[in-house]
Amino acid sequence: MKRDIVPSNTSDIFCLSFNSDPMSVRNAIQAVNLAIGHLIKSTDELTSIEIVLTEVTSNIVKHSYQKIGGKPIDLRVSPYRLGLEFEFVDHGLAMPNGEIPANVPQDFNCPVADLPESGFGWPLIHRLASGLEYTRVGDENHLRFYFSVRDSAETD
Amino acid sequence: MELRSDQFPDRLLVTVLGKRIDAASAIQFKDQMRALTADAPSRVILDLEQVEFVDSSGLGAIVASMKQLAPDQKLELAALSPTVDKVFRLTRMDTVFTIHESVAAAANGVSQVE
Repeated sequence: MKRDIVPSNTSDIFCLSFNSDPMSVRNAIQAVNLAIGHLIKSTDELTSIEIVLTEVTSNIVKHSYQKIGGKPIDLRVSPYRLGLEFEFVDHGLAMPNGEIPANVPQDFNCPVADLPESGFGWPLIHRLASGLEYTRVGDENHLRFYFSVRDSAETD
Repeated sequence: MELRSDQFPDRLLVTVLGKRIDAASAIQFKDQMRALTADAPSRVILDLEQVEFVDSSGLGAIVASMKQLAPDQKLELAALSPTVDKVFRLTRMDTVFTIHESVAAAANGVSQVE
């Protein structure tokens, strides 16, 4: 499903290219935080965005690029409705089954020894980001989502 | 990833001195916790006051640390920052751990699970 994205002001778009090593990723997220800090007034909203950016980039590093450093990750941030749209592009492995993992609730009602130690990332992304959309274009993975400032901090 | 441990008669207090428990530090954290908690008393309290950010990998490492404990040991968390608390709430991991407002509250054995 393709959405038409009409930026309200093309000069508001910024793009970032960074490498898939932990320090570059962390620096990139900090740069985004600084850049959007004047657009997103709510600390809670900024926190939500940082959480999602961290989880999405972690997935790209770990799964798309199989933890190989020095690979390119591109981020485009643009106005969308009354908020911001984020689009990540990488050139790594496609998502399994060509789609975003479903938002399956995890069951913690079990003995401690059976508790999961992974799989927390996608539920966080699903809870906080809106309009999650993944497409594979040639050898590129495109992941888009948005944060609308009118939404509460957590989307259902 | 620096952890400081303080042993008391009834509990071990582990203070995380780093600001992030994330993909970059998760394995170190888990390994250090295993070493520190091996001979600990039954209560292990993890002081997260200085931790600004825990991502899904960090969460996994904290769960792993709890799973590493002996059956008669219990891992409790204290002093979660708003961002860390948010991650625990959104993932419903706050239902898995006993979470204290502060290290002092934990020491008093006052548990404030939300």
